[in-house]
Amino acid sequence: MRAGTNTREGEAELMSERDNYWTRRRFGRRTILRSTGLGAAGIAAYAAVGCGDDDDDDGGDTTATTTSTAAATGTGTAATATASQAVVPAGRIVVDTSASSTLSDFNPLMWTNGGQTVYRDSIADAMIGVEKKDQAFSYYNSLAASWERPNDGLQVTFKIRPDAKFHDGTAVTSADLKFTLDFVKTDQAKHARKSEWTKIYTATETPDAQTAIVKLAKPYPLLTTFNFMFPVISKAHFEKVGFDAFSGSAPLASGPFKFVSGTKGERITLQAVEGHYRKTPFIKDLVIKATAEESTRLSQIETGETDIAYINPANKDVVKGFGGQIKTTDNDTSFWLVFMDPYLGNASSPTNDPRVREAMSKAINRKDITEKLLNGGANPAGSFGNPALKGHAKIDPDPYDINAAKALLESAGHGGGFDIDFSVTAPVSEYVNVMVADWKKIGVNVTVKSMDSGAWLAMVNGKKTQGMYIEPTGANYVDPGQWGLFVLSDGSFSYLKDPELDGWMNGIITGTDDAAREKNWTDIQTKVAKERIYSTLWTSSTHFAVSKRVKSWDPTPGIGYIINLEHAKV
Amino acid sequence: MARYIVSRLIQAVIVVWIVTTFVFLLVRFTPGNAAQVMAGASASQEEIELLEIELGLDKPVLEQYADYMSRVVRGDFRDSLRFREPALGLVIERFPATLKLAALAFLISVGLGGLIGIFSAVRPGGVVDQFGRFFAVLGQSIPTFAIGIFGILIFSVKLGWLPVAGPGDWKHYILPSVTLGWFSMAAMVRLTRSAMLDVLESESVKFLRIKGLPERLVIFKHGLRNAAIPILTLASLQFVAFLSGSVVVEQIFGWPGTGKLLVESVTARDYTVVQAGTFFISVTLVVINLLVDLAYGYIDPRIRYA
Repeated sequence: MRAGTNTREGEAELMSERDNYWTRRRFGRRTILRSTGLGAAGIAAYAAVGCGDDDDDDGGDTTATTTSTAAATGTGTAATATASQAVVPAGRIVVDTSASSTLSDFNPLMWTNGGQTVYRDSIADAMIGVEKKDQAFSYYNSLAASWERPNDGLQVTFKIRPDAKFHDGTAVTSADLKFTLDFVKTDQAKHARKSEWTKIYTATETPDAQTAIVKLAKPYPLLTTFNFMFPVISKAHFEKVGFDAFSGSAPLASGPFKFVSGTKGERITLQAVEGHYRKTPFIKDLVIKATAEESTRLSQIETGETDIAYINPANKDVVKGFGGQIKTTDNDTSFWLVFMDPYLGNASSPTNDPRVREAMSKAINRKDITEKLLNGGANPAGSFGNPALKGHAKIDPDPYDINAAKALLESAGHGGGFDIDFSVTAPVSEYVNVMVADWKKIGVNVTVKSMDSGAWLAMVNGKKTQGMYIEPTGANYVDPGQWGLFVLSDGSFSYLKDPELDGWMNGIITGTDDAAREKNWTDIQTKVAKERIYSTLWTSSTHFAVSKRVKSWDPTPGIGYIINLEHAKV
Repeated sequence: MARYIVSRLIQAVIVVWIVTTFVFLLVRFTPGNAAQVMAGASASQEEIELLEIELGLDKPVLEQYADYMSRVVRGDFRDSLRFREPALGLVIERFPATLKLAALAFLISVGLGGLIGIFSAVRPGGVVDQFGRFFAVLGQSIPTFAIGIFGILIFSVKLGWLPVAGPGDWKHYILPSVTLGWFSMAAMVRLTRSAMLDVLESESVKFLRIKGLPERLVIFKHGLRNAAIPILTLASLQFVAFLSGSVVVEQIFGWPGTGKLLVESVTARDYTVVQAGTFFISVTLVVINLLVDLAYGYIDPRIRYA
């Protein structure tokens, strides 16, 4: 029997995260709370009075942190409630997500893109929270007081905190968790993990109001790690107002902020929940909006109309110049080069030969691109995935060496060069032009096919194109299981058909042995790099501009979205 | 007059039909997959195919077109793929914001630009005329987006007089409406000046002056009315341009209007909103043009009897 402590297991996730700042398609990110799991009642009590990893000055623990023992659970809960009551929210914070699609639905379970994370993280709590601690992601209990899982991994029993309440004051119960998990399987639901969940989830039993037993067809560690997956919503309220009203004007969940008003695609206004069971926010009003134009966002940061916004790292000096602050995540998104021809059966394509793919990789000047064109907002990388994932393989990126690249092409019988297509999203990034120029030096003539992101997405998903493209993903990938989308043979964005990779990834997704999962992840990255299946380019960090008004707010390392706003102060 | 109106109405219907058909074809033949957008980025191929069937995207294009047109006449453009609300409703919901902006820009362009043009013509070479010509060249030399950004930098960031962007109280309207109307105002200054100069130098106006009519009546009653046709033409075109061309301004200022909605919908492949928005705007523009045509007939009887 495995018990849920502050440690992880599973994963977290998100959905379509295909992109980061530069691609302008933000994906979700999630949340994170702080705290650390404590393994015993005494340690939990210690954290509750302001020690541990809590950086707030409210004198209390910011998260539920707990263990599987009843004693520890009870202590942690009481302490947190007391601390929350001491905070009186005041002031307002305005955050800008830059893309209107991030405000497309007010039902936190309707999860269509990662950019919605700022809203989902603020309005809804899940059973589990995630944070980065000691250079790795770790997990703590949020709505859950504790959880247990037998060794076969086919069920998870959650004990729900008795003090957890929805915004209308009603208690969060096991029936609400069951309703939430069931909802994701319905026809109405749009959810990043719906397809996967439908296959894995069987049913939820609710022997009492605080206990929910989730039955699974296969083990699914993401359930106890990936907090972005299932923000719990109120069953009674949903059934009372109906699907449309819940999504359009009356969402009800249990996060530190409650819904006040909103216009889809434009703006949402939330308000602090005083006496919140986990963390009463310092700020009273939270406005979430989306301004596409970066110069406008920067001006608003300068004047104080906006407090937190995504920015291009090229503008970080501008922000510092007017006294604003720059916050960054670390290496949250991976960019890698995908060669499609080997997977499309194009037998005549030179890129079928790993030496050719290696040559292409060695002709990429990652260092200059990341330092000069990406303004230091990214780092060269040889393996994809967030370095904070346990089991991350540290693989050095290919050094920039035109002569070595030429020699490799020569040895592969393509010394005379060849032609290849390169599909990219518009507008064409400057680094694409640099890469094309370098490939030209080794005799590879690249035709850049620029298209808007919608066409590009359809191309990638349809698996119809040829040549190569760059995939940016991972802004909120906190568990290696999330990478199944790109590794498994039936992954939505995967061109691969590799039984060995399938075996390892399935072992990650359904495995319950931490060490085995970590090893599998290492093996996957190693094989992908060694056999040049994908060519990792760099990992980027998300940059946030923060106005002078904000006295305290920090993004969660490794998660490239605006979250943790309950800890922000102005 | 009735025949004149009927002929204009028939033309209007034909224009709307052509526009809606064109948009249908454009959306269908543009790369990208609406079902993919609706299903979400990580949807399986199976889910996408099921959605294609549900949306009728698996049917022959002609069949899709017939279904589309039958919906158009009922005002049913299906739900937005992103927002899951009726697409036409979303467009209509955001139209007032665009209309307010367009109306203010129109006021600036026609009202202020027209006045400057009139006074420039009354005293050619005078201070107002010099200013008006300089203003016209300046206004037409600076791109709209640059005016918006300069305005933000000066009046919001440096002086702190006006908010940067977004909807709100009356102060929020100033920068976007001036930005939207600036370019057109310059054109209006030039055209009004030119038209008024022609009229004020005509024999009929000289006669009115000789007759002793007050200069105020000469200029505003007789001069302006005789110069009104080209001014009205430009003004109507400008208003149409404000409604359909506020895209850039709405993007810069985060203005929650139809222009911003349409741009975002195109990017997101939310084709139902694109179709509904294009239909709505085309109908609006056709109606405006129809009203202008009728106004022509009122101002100049020769037109309605032609």
